[in-house]
Amino acid sequence: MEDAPLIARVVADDDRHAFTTLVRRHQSAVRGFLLRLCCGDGALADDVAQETFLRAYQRIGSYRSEGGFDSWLFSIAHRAFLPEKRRRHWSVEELREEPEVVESSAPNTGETAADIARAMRHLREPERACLSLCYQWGMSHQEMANVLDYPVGTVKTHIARGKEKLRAHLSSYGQQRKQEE
Amino acid sequence: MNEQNESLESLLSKAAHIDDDGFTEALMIRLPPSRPSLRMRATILLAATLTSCSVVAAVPGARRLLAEISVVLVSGSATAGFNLLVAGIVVSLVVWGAMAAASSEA
Repeated sequence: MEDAPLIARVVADDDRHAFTTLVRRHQSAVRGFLLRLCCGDGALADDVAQETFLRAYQRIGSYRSEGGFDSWLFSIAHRAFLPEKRRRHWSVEELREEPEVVESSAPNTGETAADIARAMRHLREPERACLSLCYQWGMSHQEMANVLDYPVGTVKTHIARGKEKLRAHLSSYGQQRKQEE
Repeated sequence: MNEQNESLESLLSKAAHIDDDGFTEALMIRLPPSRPSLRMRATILLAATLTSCSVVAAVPGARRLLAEISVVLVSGSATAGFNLLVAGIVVSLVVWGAMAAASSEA
């Protein structure tokens, strides 16, 4: 069953079973997005994800299907994450050394998903958010602007700067590896 | 540069699936108690309206009260208006309490 009928059942009849199905369907995307924002801190990402779905449940009546349910959840997740970020006064130095990363088959450049995760931690939060939404979830600039509540031009800038920084970090990791060899 | 771009984008696009691992169960426990469905809320409102109309129609005192209220509204007396406001708030709270009780049972 698609999202729309499930959402309609939650709104009309407070159908918990339908909401459970929606959560199971979208939890991976929301938690993955928050894991990126939280620099690999899985416990914090899950806390914010729980808060995200609680808010989604409370406000599901206000959901309009224009941007898709995923986009709506990402938007709530981002808003739920921001106070956490302010509360913790995050800086790169305070972040844990090694994030939780699922290894995947890397292309022939020698860079891995672990490298990406490590390099992502050196980016500013808006850059991480934009890169994640753009590449992991294939959103357009306009969709990202709606989700993150930034102007489209700002989204483009964050993506360009984020990619530039990532490239620089990945290149330095590559050099480190060569020196170690 | 293009190759580098593709490699970076391909790495960025790899979204690992995260297993539920009890996440949904933990969330469902934290959800607030059930709220009445739209149908139930409509039924409660209709019942409240019908009951109010019956009371007004059946009880002579209620008609007199309505007449008093209309006099106060027309005359614009400040004290009477204040009393009416307080009475209105009290009645609203009572109705809201009844609705909340009905929703917790639904």
